[in-house]
Amino acid sequence: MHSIQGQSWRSVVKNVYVFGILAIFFIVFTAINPKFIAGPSLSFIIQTVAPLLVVSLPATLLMISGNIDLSVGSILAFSGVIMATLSKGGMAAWEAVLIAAVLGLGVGWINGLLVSHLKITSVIATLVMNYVLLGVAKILTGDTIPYVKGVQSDFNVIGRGKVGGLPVATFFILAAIIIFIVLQKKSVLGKYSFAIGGNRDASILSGINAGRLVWLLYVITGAAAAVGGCLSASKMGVADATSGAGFELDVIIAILIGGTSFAGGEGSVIRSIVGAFIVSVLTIGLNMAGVESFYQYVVKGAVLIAAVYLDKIIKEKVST
Amino acid sequence: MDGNKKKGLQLSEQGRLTLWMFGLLIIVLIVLAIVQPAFLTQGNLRNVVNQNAVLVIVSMSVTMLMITGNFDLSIGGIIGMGGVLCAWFCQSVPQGGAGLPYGVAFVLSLLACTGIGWLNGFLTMRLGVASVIATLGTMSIARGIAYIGASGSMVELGVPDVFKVVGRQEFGSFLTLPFVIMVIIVIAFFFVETKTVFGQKIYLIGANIKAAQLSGVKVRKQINTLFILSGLLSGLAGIILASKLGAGDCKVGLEYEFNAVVAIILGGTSIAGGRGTVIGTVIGVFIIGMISNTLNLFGASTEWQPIVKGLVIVGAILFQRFAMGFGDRHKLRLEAA
Repeated sequence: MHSIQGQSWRSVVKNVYVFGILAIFFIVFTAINPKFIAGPSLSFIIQTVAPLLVVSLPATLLMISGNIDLSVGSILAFSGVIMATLSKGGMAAWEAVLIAAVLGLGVGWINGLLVSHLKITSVIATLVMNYVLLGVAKILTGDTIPYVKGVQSDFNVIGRGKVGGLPVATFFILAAIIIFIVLQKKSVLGKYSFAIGGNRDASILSGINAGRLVWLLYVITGAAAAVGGCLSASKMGVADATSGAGFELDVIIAILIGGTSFAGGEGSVIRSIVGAFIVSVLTIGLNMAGVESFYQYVVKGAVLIAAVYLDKIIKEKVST
Repeated sequence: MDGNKKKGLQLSEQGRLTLWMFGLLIIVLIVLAIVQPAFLTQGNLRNVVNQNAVLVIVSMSVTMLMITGNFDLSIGGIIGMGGVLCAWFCQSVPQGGAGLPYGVAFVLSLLACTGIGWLNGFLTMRLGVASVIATLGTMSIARGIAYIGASGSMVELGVPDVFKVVGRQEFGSFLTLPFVIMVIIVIAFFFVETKTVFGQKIYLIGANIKAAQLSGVKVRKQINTLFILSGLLSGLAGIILASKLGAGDCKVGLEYEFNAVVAIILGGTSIAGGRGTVIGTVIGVFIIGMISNTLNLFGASTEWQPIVKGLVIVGAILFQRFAMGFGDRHKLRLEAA
C-alpha cells in the first residue's frame, strides 16, 4: 500500500530514470570518442532509431497485455524484401510500403490467431512464426545478395530522404509516437491492455474480450513491424532476408529498459520511446567507438539483463 | 483430493500421448518410405539416425525445463560457443589458438558452457527474470563469444586431429560415436525422469509451482540444476558438431532453439508445463528429422524446412489437444456411467 505521495514519487523516479540512462550513454560515448557528440547528425540518429521505434511502441502495448512478439525481426526482413521486390517491378515506393504493411498485418493476424484463438503460448507461437517467415524471406530472395538492384529511385526516400530539411523518417516517428500515446492513454484498447496484463481472468470476468484485443494488438504490431522493415531496407538500400536477426532483442531491450514489465500489467509507451533511443545511441556509439559488431552481441545481451535487473532494483527501492 | 488417483491418471494420459506419437512416427515412416523409395536405403537411414543425435542430446534438458514451465532459448548460442571455444583452445599457437591439449580444451569449453547455463539459472531463479528474457540475453552473449572467438568465421587451421574424433568416430557400418553418446544420455535422462525423486519433482513444479514449494521441493535448486545441465549438454552438442565439421564455426547452432521446441512439442510435452516425457521428445526429433530428410531427398531447398516445421508444430499442438480432449471426454463418460 502506497500513500498518494509515495505513488507520485514512485512514478516520478520511474519516468525519469530512463532519461538518466540515455544521458549516461551519451556522456560515456562522448568520453570514449569526442566526435560522438558532433559526429552522428541528429538526422542520422533519427534514421537509425526509426524502424526500432515504430516497432517498439505497439510491442510495448503487447507486452503490457502480457504477450510477446518474437517474430518482429522476421517481419522486418520479410517486408523489406517485399518492398524491394515490388520496387524492382516498377512500383512506387509508397505503394510498396502500403502493400508490405498489409502483408505485415496479415502475419500479425496469424500470430493473433495462434495466440488468442488456438491458445498457443505467445513465446512459442511467435518463435515459430519467426523462423517460418525467415524461411519465406529466404525463398523470395534466393541467392541474390544484396537483393536490391535496379530498383526505383524512390526506394531510398523513406529511409534516407529529406523533406524541407527533415528526414522523412521523422514523420514516421512522429506518427507512431502520436498514435501509440493516444492509444495507450485515451483508447479502450490501451486501458484494457493494462487490465488484461494485470489479471487476465479478472479482465475477462469483467467483460473484456481479452482474446480479441490481444489479437488486435498482434495485428497492429505486425503492420508496424512491416513499416519498420520498409524504413530499415530503404535506409540501408539493401533488403536482406537475414537483416532482422537480433532485431527482436533490440525491441525487447528498448521496451524493458523503459521499465515495462515482462509479466504485463505495467509499462509506458513514452518510456519505450526513450528506450528505443537508448538502444540506437548504444548501437551508433559502439560503432563509432570502433567496437567490432561481434562484441555488440555480448554487450546487448548484457544490457538486456542489466535493464531487467535495474528495473527490479528500482521497483523494490521505490516501493519500500 | 485423492493424491494417488490424480497421479495415476496423469501418467496414463502421458503414456497414451507418447503412444499416439509413437504411432505417428511409424505412420510417417511408412508414408515416407512409400513416397520416396530412397528413404529406406541403409545409407539414408544411417544419416537420419546420426544427424539427429545432436538435437536429441540438447533437447533432453530443455524438455525437462519445459515441463517445469521454463524456456531455454540460449541453447543455439551455447552450441556455437562450445564448438568455437573448444576449437580455439586446442588450436596451435601459431595459428592464433591457445595451444592447449585437446582434453583440457574439451573440459574448459564445457565449463564455459555450463557457466552460461548457471547464469541462466541465476538470472531466472535468483533475480526473478522471466526465463524467456534471461535466455534471450544469454543467447546473444554466447553467440557473441562464438563470433569473437572465431573472428566472425571459423577456427579451422591448426586444430589437432583428435578434435575430429568425437563427431566422426564410427562403430561398424551403422553407428557413430554421437549416436552412442545420445543413447547413453537418453537412458540417463529416462532413468532420472521415471525412477528418481528429482524426476518426480520436475512434474510437481510444472503442475503447480506454489504447491511444490509448499510441499518442500527446493524449486530454485531444481531448476538451477536443469539450466546448468542444459548448458552442459548444449556445449557437448557444440563440440560434437564442430568435430563433425572439423572446425569451430561461429554460425553453427542457429535455429536449434526452434528445432528443439518443435521436437519437444511434437513429442507431447505441454507448452504450459507439467506434462511431457524425454522419450516423447526423442520420438519428436525423429519425426521431424525424417520429414526434413525426405524434403532433402526430394531436392527441396532448406528454406522450406522451417515452413514445414511450423505447420507440423501447429498441427501437433492441435492434434494433442484433440487427443487429450478425446481422452477427457472418454473419461467423463466413464465417470458418468
